[in-house]
Amino acid sequence: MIGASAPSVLPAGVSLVGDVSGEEDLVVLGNIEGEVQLGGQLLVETGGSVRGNVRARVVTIRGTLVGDATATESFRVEEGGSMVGDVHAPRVRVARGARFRGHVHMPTEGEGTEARVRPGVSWPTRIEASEAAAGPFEAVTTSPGSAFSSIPTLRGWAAPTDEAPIRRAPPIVVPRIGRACGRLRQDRVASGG
Amino acid sequence: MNAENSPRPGRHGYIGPSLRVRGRLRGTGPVHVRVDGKFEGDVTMEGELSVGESGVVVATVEAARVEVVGQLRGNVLATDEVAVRDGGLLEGDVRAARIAIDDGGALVGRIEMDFDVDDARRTS
Repeated sequence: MIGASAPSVLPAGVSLVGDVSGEEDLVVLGNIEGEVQLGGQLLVETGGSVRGNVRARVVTIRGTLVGDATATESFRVEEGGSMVGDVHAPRVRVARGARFRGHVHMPTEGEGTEARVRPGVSWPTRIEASEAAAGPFEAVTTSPGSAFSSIPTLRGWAAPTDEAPIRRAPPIVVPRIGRACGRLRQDRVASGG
Repeated sequence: MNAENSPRPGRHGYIGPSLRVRGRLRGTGPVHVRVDGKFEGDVTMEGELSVGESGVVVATVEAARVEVVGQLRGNVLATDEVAVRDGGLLEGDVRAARIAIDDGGALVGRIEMDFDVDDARRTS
C-alpha cells in the first residue's frame, strides 16, 4: 500500500492546470501548467512536462520544463530532458544528451569547484551536449585530473547565431557536480531538416 | 478500475498528505488518482478518483468512479459508481449510475439516478 513516504504522482494522461505546493516529493508523468512549490524533490519524468515556475529542494528534469526553476539544493537535467528557463541553484548538472536554454544562477559562496566559472559574468554560449552535434571546439575541462574523468564531453560551443552579440568565451563545462555562472544556451539541434 | 495489487506507475496518481493542489485536473484513459492531501478546483477524468482518509477535496468532480473515504465537497457526476465509505463525507449533489453509501459514511446533498420505477434496477 501507499505509505506516508511515497511520492506524490501526477500520472501520464493526466493534466493539471493549477498550482501544487507541499512538503513532499512529486513525480510528474503527466502535464502541469502552473506553479509547483515543494519542500521535497520534484522529478519531471520522461514524457512529463511542467510549464510554469518550480521551486523545490531538488529538481530533476527527464521530461520537459518550461519555466524558471529554483532548487535549494541541486538542479539537474538528465539525458533526454529539456529545459527552457532560468535556473537558480547551488549545484547544477546538465547531462550529456540534455537540452537546455536559459540562464544559470549559482550562489557565489560555497566550496570551490574547479569547473567553476567566475560569477557575475554572463556569456552567450552555446552548448551542444551531444556527440552527434560535435562542433569545431572541444570542451576544455579546467582540470584534467581523474576526478573529472567521467565528465561528459560537451562539444561544439560556439557563439549564438542570433539575439545575443558574439563574444568568445571558454565553454562552460558542467560536470557531475558542476558550477557555472552565466548563460547556457542550446538551440535545438536541427534534426535533418 | 481496481488495481490494488498491481500498481501500474504512470496510470496511478497520488496526492500526498502534505500536498495542496489547486486547479483543474484532467485525465484521459483509465487513470486512478488518490488524494490524501488537499485538492481544490475541478476534476474531469475517465478513470477513478479516490479521496483517502486524510484527503480533502473541494471540487466539482466528473469521473467514472468516485470513492470517498475522507471528505469531498462538491457536485459529483459519475458515469459508473460513487461510493462513500465508513468515515467518508460527501457534501454535494451526486449523479451516478450506481451509488453506495456504506455504514458510517455520510452524504449531505441530493442523489440523482436515472431509472424507471416500473422496472427499476436496484443495486445494493
